[in-house]
Amino acid sequence: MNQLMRKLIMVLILLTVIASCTSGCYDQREVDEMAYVMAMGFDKGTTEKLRLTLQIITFRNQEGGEQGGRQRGGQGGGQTDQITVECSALFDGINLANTILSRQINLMHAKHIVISEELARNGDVEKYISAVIRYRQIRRIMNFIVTKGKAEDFLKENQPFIGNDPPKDMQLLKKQSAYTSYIPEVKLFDFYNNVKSTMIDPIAILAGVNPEGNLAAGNLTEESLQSGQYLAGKIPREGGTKKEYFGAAVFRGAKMVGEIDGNGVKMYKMVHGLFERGYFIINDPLAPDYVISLDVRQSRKPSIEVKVTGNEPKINVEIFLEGEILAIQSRINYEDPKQSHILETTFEKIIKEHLDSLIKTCQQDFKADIFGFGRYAAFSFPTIESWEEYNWKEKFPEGKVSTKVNFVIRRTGMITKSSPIVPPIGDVQ
Amino acid sequence: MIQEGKIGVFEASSLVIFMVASKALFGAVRELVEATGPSAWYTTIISGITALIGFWIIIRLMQRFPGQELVSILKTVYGRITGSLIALIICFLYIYNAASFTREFTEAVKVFEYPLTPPSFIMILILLAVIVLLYYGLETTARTTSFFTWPLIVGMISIFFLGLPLGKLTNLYPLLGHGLDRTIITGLLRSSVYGEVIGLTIILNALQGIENFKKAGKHGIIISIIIISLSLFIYSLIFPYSVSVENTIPLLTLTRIIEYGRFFQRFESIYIFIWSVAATLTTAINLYLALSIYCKTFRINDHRVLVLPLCILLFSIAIIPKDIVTITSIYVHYLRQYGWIIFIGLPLLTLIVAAVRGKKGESANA
Repeated sequence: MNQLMRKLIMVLILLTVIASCTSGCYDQREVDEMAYVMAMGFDKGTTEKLRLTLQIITFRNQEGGEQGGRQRGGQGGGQTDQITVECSALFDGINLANTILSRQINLMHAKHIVISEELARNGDVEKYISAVIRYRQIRRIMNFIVTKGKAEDFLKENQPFIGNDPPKDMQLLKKQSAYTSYIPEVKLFDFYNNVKSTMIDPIAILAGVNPEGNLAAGNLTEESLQSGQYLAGKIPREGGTKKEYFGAAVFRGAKMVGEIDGNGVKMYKMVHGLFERGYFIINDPLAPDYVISLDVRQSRKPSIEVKVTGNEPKINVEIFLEGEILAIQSRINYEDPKQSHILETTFEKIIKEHLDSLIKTCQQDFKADIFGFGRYAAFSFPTIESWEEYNWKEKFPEGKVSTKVNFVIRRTGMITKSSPIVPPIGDVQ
Repeated sequence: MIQEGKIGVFEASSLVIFMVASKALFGAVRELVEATGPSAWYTTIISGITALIGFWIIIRLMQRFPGQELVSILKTVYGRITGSLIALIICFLYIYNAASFTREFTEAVKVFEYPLTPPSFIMILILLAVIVLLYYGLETTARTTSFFTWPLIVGMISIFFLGLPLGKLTNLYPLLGHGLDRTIITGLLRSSVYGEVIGLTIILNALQGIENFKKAGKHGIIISIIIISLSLFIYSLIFPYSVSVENTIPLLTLTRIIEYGRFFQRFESIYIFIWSVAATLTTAINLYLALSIYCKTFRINDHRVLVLPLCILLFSIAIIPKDIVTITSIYVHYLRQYGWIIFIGLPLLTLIVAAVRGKKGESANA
C-alpha cells in the first residue's frame, strides 16, 4: 500500500509538471488571438511626439482575390492592413492600437523597422531604439530602414508585387541586397551595434515611394558608373510596386547626416568585404559612345591597415575584385589578353575614383566613419581606456586615406572573341 | 552514515561540468565582459588555471586523509564542533548557490519567455523536478546529469558554430580589455567560478577511490574552461564591448540573432531546452551536496527526510531578492568574487592546519 501510494504521488507530480509545461499556463496564448505586426513605422507626430504605424497581417484574401488587396494596401497584396496612432512612445502606441483591435498586437514576427527621414535627421532614433532593443518580442534581425518622406506612406505601399506573401517579400530584401548591391543589408542588430560603437558609424537601408509616371524623370549623366547614381524613390521606372529600396542613410552617432546612392553602397560593401555581386556599366575606354557591362564580384576580403601615429591617422585600403564581361556594345575584342588590361585598368580607375569620392564625403561632409576604419585603428591600442582617450571619431575626418583597387577579368561569358558585325553593303567606311 | 551508492568518472565529471559550465548560459558571461572587456575570454582561462591549482591543493588534502570525505576531514582537523560549523558554512554556500541559480533562471524565463507567470510558479516547477532527483539520491542525479552532458556540450558548441559567421575579429580589440593587471586580478578572484569542484570531496566515497576523484575533477574543470572560454570568445566576437555589457542573458540574445535564410531562424529553441535542463540539474546537484554535507555533519542516515524541508528553505531564500539586478549584481556577484575563500582558501587552510597539528588519515598514519 505504502509502495503504491508512493508511486501514485510520483505519477501525480509528473503529470502536474508535464501538464504545466506543455500548456504554457499563465502565458498561454492562441495563435489566432494575436495580431502579428509585419512592419513598424516611426514618424514625427503632429499632436503627440510620435506617429506610430503598424503594418499588420490580416490573413484576409487568403485565396488570392485581387479586389480586397487593391482596396487596402496599394497594388496587389491585401494580406496586410495598417493602423496609425499618435502617441508619446512605442508602447503607448501599441496600447492604443490594442484598443482598436480585438486581437493582441504581437511583434514577434516583425520584419521591418521604418524610420522617417525627418525623425532620423532630428536624432530621435536614439529615443525609440532603446525600447525596440529591450523588448523581448522584437528580434534584432529586423531590417532597419530610413524612408524618404513618411514611414506611414511607405508602409502603405509596402506590398508584394508577386505573390500574396508580404512577410516573404520583406525577408527577400536580404537577397535583393546581395544580387544588386545597391541596397545595404542592415539589420537592427547591425545598426544598434554600430550606433553604440566608438569605432564605426551606422548606416540604414534607404527606402522611398516612387511616384507614378517617373519614367521620364531619369537624369543619367555622362558619369562612368551609370544607373547606381539614384536614391530611393527616384528611379526612372513604370510598373511594379511604388516602394523602393536604393542607397543608404548615413548616421553620425544616432543622427542621420546624409545619404549615399547605389554606387556609394557598392563601394561601402567593397570596403566591408560584403560585396557579393553587382552589375557595372562603364563607358567603353576605346569607344566612348558605347558602354561595357560587367558582372563584378569581390575575389577576396579587402586589406585594410590603419596607422595611428599622431593626430592624422594613415589609412590604406586595398580592394580585390574579379569580373565577367556581360556585354561589349562596341564589339572591340577586349577578351584578348593584349586588350583586356585596358578594360581592367579603366575599371580599377573608375572604382578608385568612386571610392575616394565616397571616403572624402564621409570625412568632410558627414564626418562619419561608416567603413569601420576605427576597428582597425583599435589594433594599435592595448586597452579600452587608451582607445577611448584617442577619440577616433574626432580623428577620422583628418585621416589620410590611400586606396588601391585590383580588378581581373576572369571570364568573358559565352563569347571569347568579339568581332564587328558586318556593316550593310554601301555603308563601308 | 548516508548511503550514496557508486558513480563513475564520467558521471562525476558531468556533475562538475553542470555546476560550473552552465554558468555560461546565464548572466555570468555579461558580468565578466563588463569587468574585463574584450579580454574576458582569456580571463576565464586564468580563473580556470587558478582553480586547477586549487584543485591540486584539494587533492593533497584528500591524499593526507585517505578514505575520508571533506566533512570527516574537517572534523578531524578542527575538532568536531568547529569542523561541523565550517561544514555547515559550505552547506549554506551550496544552498545559496542553488537558490541564486534558481532565481536567476526564473527571472530570465520571465524576461524572455513567460512574462505573465508568477516567479513562484516557475520555481515550484523546477523544485518538483529537483525533489524527485534528490529523493532518489546521488546515483540517480549523477546518471541523469551524465545523460544530459552531451546534449549540453553539443547544443552549446552548435550555437557557437552557428553564431560564428556573425563575428568580427576586430571586436576582440583592444586585446587587453581594461588592462592586463585588471584582467589578471579578475581572473584570479573569479576562480570561484570553477570552485564547485570541491563538491567532489563531499561525495568522495561514491567515487571509488582518489584516482577517480582526481580524473573527474580535472576533466570537469578543463571541459568547463573550454566551454566558458568559448562562450565568452564567441559572445565578444559578435557583440562589440559597448553592447556586450548590456544583454541580460548573453548567449540567449546571441541565439536570437542567428539566421540562415528564411527558414533557419529562432535557434533559441535549442538553447531554451539545454538552458532549462541545466538550471534544473545544477539546482539539484548543488542542493544534493548541501544535503549530503548536512547529513554527514549530523550523522543522519536517511537523506530523504530532509529533501522537502531543504527545498522549502531554498524556495524561501530564492524568493528574497526583490529584482533581477539584485540577484546578478549582489547575490551572484559576491559569490563569484569571494567564493574562492571557501573553495580554494578553506582546503589550503585545512591542509596547513593539518600539517601544523600533525593530523593525518588512518592509512596515511600507517
